[in-house]
Amino acid sequence: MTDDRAPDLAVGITSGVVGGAVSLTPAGPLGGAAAAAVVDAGVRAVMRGLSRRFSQRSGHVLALAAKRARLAPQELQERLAQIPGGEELLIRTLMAAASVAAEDKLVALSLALARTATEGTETEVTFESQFVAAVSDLGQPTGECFRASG
Amino acid sequence: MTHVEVGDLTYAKVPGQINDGQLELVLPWITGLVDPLMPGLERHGLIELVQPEAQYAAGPPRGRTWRITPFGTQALERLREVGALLAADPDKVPVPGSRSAWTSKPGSDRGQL
Repeated sequence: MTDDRAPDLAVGITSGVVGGAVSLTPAGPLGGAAAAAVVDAGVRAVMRGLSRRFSQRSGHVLALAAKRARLAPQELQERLAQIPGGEELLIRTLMAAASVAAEDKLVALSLALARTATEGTETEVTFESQFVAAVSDLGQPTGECFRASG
Repeated sequence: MTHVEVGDLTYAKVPGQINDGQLELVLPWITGLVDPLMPGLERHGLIELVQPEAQYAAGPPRGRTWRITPFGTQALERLREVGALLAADPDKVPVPGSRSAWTSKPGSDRGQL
């Protein structure tokens, strides 16, 4: 999601809420169009902030991966594009990074990209794809259960 | 847990394996949540069920046991590496508002939840 698209999504969300059969806006002085404007502005601000955070996290993972692999970010991308499945791994990893908040998960995702870029094998891509899927999908309690299992 | 007695091996941990009771002992905050949590790990191939729940005529119900898979072992090794990287220089990861989710010791950041 980009900054440009976020306001459109915000409008769509608030239009649905305010214009729907069951309004969630409070009655009284803030009712009607004024309330819709306030809700729209609030949602837009939140979506813009989240959109920036998504982008920051993806960029952070890409930068960490490039640093770890001792490559420029563009070189990392080109290296991954040359490996079968590498480009898809890059896309999935950066999309996963956008929705992850925990710093250790972000570092884990960056290592997956760095390893793939430096190892350059399909076996590595397969492992890292599974690893990225697991890390991005599972939350803290599940991670604790996992570590307790080992 | 009335069946646990001194010298009872019910909770003796087999390396690489864990059962319901052991999980709830070491992670008491997941009590009652084993059912939704462990299938997630199974689905990603990190652990596998080696012993389903069983009830014998005599004695307590025998809980499920899981063991870590070879992929899970590799993933754990990777997570240890991540933990070591963060411990070595946490300033290299300046992501505001983020926190440790997978590599911290159990219970070490419970206060942040």
